Amino acid sequence: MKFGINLALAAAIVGMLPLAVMADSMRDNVLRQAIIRSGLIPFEETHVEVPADLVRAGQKLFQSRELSFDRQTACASCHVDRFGSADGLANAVGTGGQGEGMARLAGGGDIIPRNTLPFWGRGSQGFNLFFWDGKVDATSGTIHSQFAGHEPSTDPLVVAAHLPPVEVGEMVADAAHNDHLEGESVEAAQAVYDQLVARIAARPDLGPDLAAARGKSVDELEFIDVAEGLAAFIRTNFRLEANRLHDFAFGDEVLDDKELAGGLIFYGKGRCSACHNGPYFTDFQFHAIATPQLGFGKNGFGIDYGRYNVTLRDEDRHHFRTPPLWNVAKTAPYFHSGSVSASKTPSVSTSIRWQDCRPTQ
Amino acid sequence: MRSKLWRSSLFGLSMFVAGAVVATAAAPLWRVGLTAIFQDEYATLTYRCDYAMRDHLIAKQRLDQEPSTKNVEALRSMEIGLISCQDYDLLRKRLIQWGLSENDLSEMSLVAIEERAKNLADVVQIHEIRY
Repeated sequence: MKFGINLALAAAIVGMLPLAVMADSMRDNVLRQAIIRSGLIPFEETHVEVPADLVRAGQKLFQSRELSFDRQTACASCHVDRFGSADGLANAVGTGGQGEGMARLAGGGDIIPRNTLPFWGRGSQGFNLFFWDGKVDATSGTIHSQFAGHEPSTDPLVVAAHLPPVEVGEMVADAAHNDHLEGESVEAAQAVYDQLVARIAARPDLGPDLAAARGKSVDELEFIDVAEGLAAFIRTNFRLEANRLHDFAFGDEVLDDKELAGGLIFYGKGRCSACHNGPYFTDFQFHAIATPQLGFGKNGFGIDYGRYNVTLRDEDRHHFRTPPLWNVAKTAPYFHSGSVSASKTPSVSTSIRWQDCRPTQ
Repeated sequence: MRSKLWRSSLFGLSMFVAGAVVATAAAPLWRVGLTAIFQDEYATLTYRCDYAMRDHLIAKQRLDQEPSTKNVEALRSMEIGLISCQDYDLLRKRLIQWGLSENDLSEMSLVAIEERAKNLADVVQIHEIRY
């Protein structure tokens, strides 16, 4: 009797196996095609090559507090490796902050009312829109930025690298002695740039390398050279590399059942790929998504108008650039004010797990 | 010798009758057991497939009314969403293979649909035709 039941069950399971295998194979193929149709390309095709000596000089600048007017912050203070080049906080902590992650939040400092963006893919092929509100935008072929037609470079990443060092609260201390820099004028920014360049030129570990990489003498250095160095480092250090997702799409990597199911939701009924598409998982468009606002907000009292702050068009209120998703498993918390942590939001965590783009090496 | 053979035949017949009785009694129990074990999973997959089919229909209608690249992409996403119905189909086939009938499966679907019906209003809401 028992033998008979076991035999019947075994026969039923064996009978179903071909169906299950066919279903898995079909799903793999559907997902692979959807990924490629949605715009993922081999990672090498996104790379932009830059001189190695400029990358090395840029790396030193990236890690130096000399780029902060009050010597309190470096780029690397908020763009930290262990947080996937973000800072692990909901809202960034700028000048006055100490340490990394929660220690930085606990240590005080000026709160920047937006979530720190990671750097993956920045400045690579076709990545021409920067910051949550797109305040540096070269998607039309012409750069639109706060420089209003007087952009210091035709490279939007270089233009973007000009902004944080003159942002009050971010790299310029929000203090009485800096009140004269609050005006947001190009002249005020230039005064900061001149001082930063003089400081960097005087540093034997920074100035000579940067000058050599730019083919200039130290005395000839300008802030554009600093920005070029930073851009070169960001463009190279955070460029896309192979990962399991990439190797599944273009190689023979195998996804487990959860990853496969998550991927089919992402490209299927979840419609995540309607906005998160292309090589960087962003459509470089602006959307209003119903996410909670956390913190004081860019516009104060829990309000952040997002793209409206750049365009002043009513229809742009509360719109934010679709965030790219590379290495997104490491860059929590999420959304423009960091109000969503993956661990507490099942729909997000499913996508996050699927999008876990850890390098394969 | 003849008596031994007769007794043996009687024993065989008794065993056959007993087996038939047990099988007849066990078949519904087996079906009830299977139904109980797979009801939750079946309900979930029924919901997912139903949801995907409706979304697919809406996406098709939207594309028909407003042809655009965006709506083509939305329809493609909904086509991928229909894979949920394959999970539903596979479970149906498995349960049929294991002995459930179409009636048993229909009953499981009804349980899934009416899971939260607490009164007549709920039942009406589930079954009335709306347009």
